[in-house]
Amino acid sequence: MNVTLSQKITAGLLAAMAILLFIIIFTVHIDSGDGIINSISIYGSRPISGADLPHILPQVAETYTALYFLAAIVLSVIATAQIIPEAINNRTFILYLSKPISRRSIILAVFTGVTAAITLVQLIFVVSFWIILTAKTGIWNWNLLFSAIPLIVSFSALYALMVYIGIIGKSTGMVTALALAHVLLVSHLLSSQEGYMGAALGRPFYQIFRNIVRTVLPGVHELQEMTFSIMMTRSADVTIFILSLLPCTLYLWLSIRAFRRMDF
Amino acid sequence: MKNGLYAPLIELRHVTKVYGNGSLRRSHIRAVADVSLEIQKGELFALIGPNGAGKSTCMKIIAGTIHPTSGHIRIMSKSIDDISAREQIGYLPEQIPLPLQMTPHHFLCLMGRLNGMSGSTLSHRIREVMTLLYMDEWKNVPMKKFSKGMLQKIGFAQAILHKPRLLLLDEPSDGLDPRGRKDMREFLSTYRSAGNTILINSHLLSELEMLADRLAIMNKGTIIKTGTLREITSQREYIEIKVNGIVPKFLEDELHPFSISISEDVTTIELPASIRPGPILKLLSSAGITPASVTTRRSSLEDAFLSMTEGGNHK
Repeated sequence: MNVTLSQKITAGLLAAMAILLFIIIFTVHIDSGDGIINSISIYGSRPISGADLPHILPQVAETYTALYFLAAIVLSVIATAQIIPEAINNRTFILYLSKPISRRSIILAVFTGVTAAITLVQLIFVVSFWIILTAKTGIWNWNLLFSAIPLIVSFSALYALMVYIGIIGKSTGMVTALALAHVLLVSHLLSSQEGYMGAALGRPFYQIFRNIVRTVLPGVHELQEMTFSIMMTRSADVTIFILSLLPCTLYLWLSIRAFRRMDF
Repeated sequence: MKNGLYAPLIELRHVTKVYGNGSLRRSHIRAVADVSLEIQKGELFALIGPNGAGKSTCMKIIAGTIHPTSGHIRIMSKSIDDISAREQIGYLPEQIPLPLQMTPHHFLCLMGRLNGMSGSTLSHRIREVMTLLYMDEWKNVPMKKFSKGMLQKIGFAQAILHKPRLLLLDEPSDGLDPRGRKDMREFLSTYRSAGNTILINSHLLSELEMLADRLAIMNKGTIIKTGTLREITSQREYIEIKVNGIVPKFLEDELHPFSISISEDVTTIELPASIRPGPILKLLSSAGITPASVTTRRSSLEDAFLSMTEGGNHK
């Protein structure tokens, strides 16, 4: 039943993306010339043009990035959260454990397969959106394609954490709740200014605490900001990609260790 | 541990499995306690015992799905941790968890590839196995439409797909109809005759009596007795004297130490094999009774099993 649910969610994700693309195709009108966007109008509304565009476009881009990034991550979490817990609770792994493949290979194969599937879905959307936008504007914005990379890296790091939680907790609910809590709350808190936590812990301790936690937890918010940065042709901080590999590697290593010790 | 030409195919030395981490919240459960076992190449070895005896746990330890708490296991002279040892193992777990949304063909392709098979070899073997199990017309039907017996056959198919030298079968006849069980028995007999080794765990003692070369009776995590069928049941040899009709009361009192049963107007007297029947026959003769038959019998595996695991008495 849960496999069917995740299939439905994935299908729903693709359908939602298709609907969004159709909306963009038929309701957004972009007037451009000589590689410059002159005006934008949405379904017959007053066109936004001239001096307003340099202010509006970045806000639109930032809003789109935030909404798309969060929606894609949240739906991906919901679609994939049950894979490891269900395989453990239904004893599906027994079929593979008696075969001549290592437990490490099994975990890495699950991780790779899931992230590849999500990557494919995201690429389909991003490429489709890019093609439509290019057809409408006549402007080849390659940065839009590259903006998918932070999302894919973000989900990969997050899924490594989800795999570990799934192995330890063996509960789809726990995986979903903790992953969404990190995406929607923890990641933003860690990226924000000190605020209440800084005041409560004291600045030095808060800085140390924040740096440690940001190293061991996937930097979803930072990668979301990088998506916008790439789209607007600003330079991307490569160290954020590298730092995202740290929690990914850490949780995969912990997952493999935990899975090796499990009895089925 | 033994090595060399005559090394056993499976060797367990002082294997123990304890569930529970000893914390206050969870108590220890000793599923397997200091089990040592050798299974030779080419034999069909059966593990029997009551529910919770540790049979499935032993099998899971050998298959590699469970880690023993202590002890050593070697398969084909290799450590259980050596992945290459599993290349020649086919395992059918109890209540096999099949992916029901898949078709048998798709599932067996996946299992075959995990065993290193591919291409036309794999396709040909899948056809062969499906035909052997009378399932060829179902190979492209999603398994969610299958009965329990059909699913069991697919589970068996994935275990034999790569022609392993060692088969581990946990309740292989579970869910099969009588025809299916007969086919399974014939297949296992042929498979063993080809020089392969089979370790089987089953509650169907009558089938094991027909198949097993050697057996081990387990109870409460330990092996009580190991040996051939004859060795295990020889402790329960007895002499059976059948008499037509019902013996007089005074004779019943005389024969009181022995087991007397009456069924369909036939009286059956059972004496331990160690007792000579002569005096009993004389006693019957003095009462004008001629026995219909006097035979030496060996108790069934079920009788031996019950007496060893429950200390069951026999009237």
